[in-house]
Amino acid sequence: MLAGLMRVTIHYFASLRDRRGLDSEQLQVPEGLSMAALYHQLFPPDQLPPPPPVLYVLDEQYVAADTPIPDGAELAFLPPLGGG
Amino acid sequence: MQIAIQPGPIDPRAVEAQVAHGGCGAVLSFIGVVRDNHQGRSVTGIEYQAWPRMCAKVAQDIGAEIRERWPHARVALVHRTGRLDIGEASIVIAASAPHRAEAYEASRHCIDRVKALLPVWKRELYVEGDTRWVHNAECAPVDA
Repeated sequence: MLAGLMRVTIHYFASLRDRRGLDSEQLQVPEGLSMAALYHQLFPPDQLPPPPPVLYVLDEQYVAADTPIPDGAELAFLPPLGGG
Repeated sequence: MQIAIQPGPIDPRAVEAQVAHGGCGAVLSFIGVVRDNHQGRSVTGIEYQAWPRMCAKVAQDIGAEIRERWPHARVALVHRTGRLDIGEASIVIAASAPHRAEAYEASRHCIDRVKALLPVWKRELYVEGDTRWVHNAECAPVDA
């Protein structure tokens, strides 16, 4: 692995799965990145239609947008939920 | 709290059986069903997608909230995935308690928390042939 990079696994659902064309993927991303920064890197806010607001999940816990991502993390960006 | 995420039809009686016991005086089921219209559009069905592993985690958290507030209530839930037709049950929540008030309150709390937190998504299928991901008013993403 290159210095300054960490490996993460990202899961996609619903409209983000459609946009990305993937259920999940492994990526190398810069150390110290926050959840929101990675989301905006993958789904730029100026895309049309705009990417949805999301819930952030890190290692099966809902977390705040500014949570730093640890190396080896499993994470997901959840579009607004529709269960029930 | 017991939870199952399944592609096949839900049997409400089987969910009730998970919470019924000799000490309960009330067993009730909430059944969410697919409606044929939404925001003025004719709906032919709904497709549900779920993240089962995270659903299990969220169900544990909701179960802990229920145990704390209604210690004598028992709650179980089953959610469907895949393509559902009008009138089919998308979710069944069974709640039991020694007395009805706790069962009603625990059931209501459970569905409200499911709407806000359970990682499930729905895509409505319309008569005209188009589709759209729609979400719950109770879900409030915290985008930065």
